[in-house]
Amino acid sequence: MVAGRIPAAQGIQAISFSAAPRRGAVSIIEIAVLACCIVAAVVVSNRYAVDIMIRTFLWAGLALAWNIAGGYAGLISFAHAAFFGIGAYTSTILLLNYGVPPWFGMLAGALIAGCAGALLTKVCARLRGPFFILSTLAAGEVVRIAALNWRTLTGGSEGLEIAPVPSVVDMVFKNQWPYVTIMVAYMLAMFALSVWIEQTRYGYYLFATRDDEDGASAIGINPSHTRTAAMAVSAATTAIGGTLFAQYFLYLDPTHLISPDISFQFALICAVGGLGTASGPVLGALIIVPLSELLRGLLSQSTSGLHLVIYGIIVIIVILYFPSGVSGAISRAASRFSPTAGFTTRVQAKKM
Amino acid sequence: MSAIVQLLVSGIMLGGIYALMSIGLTLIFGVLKIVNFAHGEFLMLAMYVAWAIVSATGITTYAAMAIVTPLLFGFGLLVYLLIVRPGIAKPHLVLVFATMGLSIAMQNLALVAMTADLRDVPPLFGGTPIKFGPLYFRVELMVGFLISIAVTLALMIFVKRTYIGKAIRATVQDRDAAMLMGINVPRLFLLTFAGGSALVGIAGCIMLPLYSTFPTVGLNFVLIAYVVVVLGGMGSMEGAFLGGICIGIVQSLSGYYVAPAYGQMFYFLVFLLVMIFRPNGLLGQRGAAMVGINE
Repeated sequence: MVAGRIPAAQGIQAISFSAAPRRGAVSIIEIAVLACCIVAAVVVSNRYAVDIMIRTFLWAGLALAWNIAGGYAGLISFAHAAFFGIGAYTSTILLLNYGVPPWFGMLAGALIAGCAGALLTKVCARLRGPFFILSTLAAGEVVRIAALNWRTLTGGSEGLEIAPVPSVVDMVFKNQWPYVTIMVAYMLAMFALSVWIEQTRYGYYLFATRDDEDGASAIGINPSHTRTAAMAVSAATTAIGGTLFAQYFLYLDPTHLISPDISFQFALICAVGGLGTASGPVLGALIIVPLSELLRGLLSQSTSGLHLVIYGIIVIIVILYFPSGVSGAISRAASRFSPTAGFTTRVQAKKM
Repeated sequence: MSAIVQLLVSGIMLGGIYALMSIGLTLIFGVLKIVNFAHGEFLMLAMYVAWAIVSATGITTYAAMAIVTPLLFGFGLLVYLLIVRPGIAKPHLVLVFATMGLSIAMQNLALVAMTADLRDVPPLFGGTPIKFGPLYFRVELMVGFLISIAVTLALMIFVKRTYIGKAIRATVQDRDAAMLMGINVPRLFLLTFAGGSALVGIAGCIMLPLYSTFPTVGLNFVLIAYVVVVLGGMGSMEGAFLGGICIGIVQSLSGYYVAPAYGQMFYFLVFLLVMIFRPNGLLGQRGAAMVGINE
């Protein structure tokens, strides 16, 4: 190993910078991408464009949250739609029935989803690969069916509606800009959390467990605890995204909110952008969300669904030919100028 | 008493059909060690093709099977060559995501081409059920069950007796050893993937008269297929059959005694319980769930 990299595992040190996206560091490319997001949010005033931006930032944050489990811990989870739904429903039910502001309801949702995520990982602790994936899919479906049928609590298939009365306490706004601010803050917080995890000792435990579980236990890491914590954090942060989603769209129903399609979307954004990196989910969301919204707009005259056909085909091509995602491709391109960045990128690309 | 018997028998019949739908998936998993996330969309395609043939010519779906099955075999071949073969040597997540992309593309292509309308075929004999003593059965369910049993038995004999069948079993057990013994593993991959898709073609034909088809019809059934396959032990055909019957019975009993809406929840809970206490499924290879895949 390169001697200079070891202190990064000690936990406390200043954030390091690099040119290309690199594990545990904030790169110039990433800062440029995030800065562009913020500038765009300030400059653009077209209502439709701002709506696309709000969705993009929210999805970027959600994909970053998924990436903590799916990318860093290697726990490909399709139960995340359930955590997303738990977050949205918890804060909304608290708001509608007890008048609790979503600012606090969001934390309750995060707590419940975090516990659910930890429980799921504990019970599925022995499962690997497709067995784990399919178990999470089943767990997500259990939550969806429960939400659909527990009518007194969730309103069943008719869903729940938040009254569109602007109020800062209730996190409902008339203008779009407060939403832009909230979503950007969510995305930046998730990005910071991801970079922080990457450079802590815990992050190194995660990568070790993901890449070689036997090796990790041999040097004294408890793989089960490491994974469970990653899933709990990932589920809790996804739930916060769920609350934000509910507060922006003001309407929830189990069929759309907790559907496996939502989980697939989290996973595909990360896969297209680059799994297991902090920049990947952001890049993936910046590509996929505006692309599918624009295609939807362009092709709306012909027939609904065509934009998703194109989207599916793009996903297949990117995954097959750029398995480390857009972020990996950028790193490879940038590695020509910086030999050390190239080293880490190759290792990451190999492990995916 | 007769209610229980009626429910059990209907559950077994339904389970037989679920088993047929799942055997293709378990075969592909056993040999290629990949989960085809577009499996449900293959079923949707088969149902639409069968529907198109039936409504154009007026023959029954069972006769349409003669066209749908080879068509799905060809489609499986195409998907294998375009998507699976380029991705099979890469980390297993590549094919998880690529088949998910395929599933999204196919689902929405169906939405564009066929709209979201439900498509169904006229019932056999005007929809009169067959009566056996105190028990009543839908003709389509009965015929579907008999075809499922026949196909499953034929497949089991094929896998036990023929050279290709033995090669398949050898590859399921140990891919590297099979290759060293001179089995053409890449060709076997192609055959298995296409053959598994052809089985979905048969399943689509027998399911069309029981359920109508629509663009997202695959999702419901593919979730059942995953449960069945994992329950039986991934890669085990006998297991898939047993798993199918179990899920059919669970669904039919819980639908009657609890509530139809919670029926689905029951089999997902059964699935999670099996995963916790017997993660290799009923008849799966020991340790399969723990070592993961493709390594």
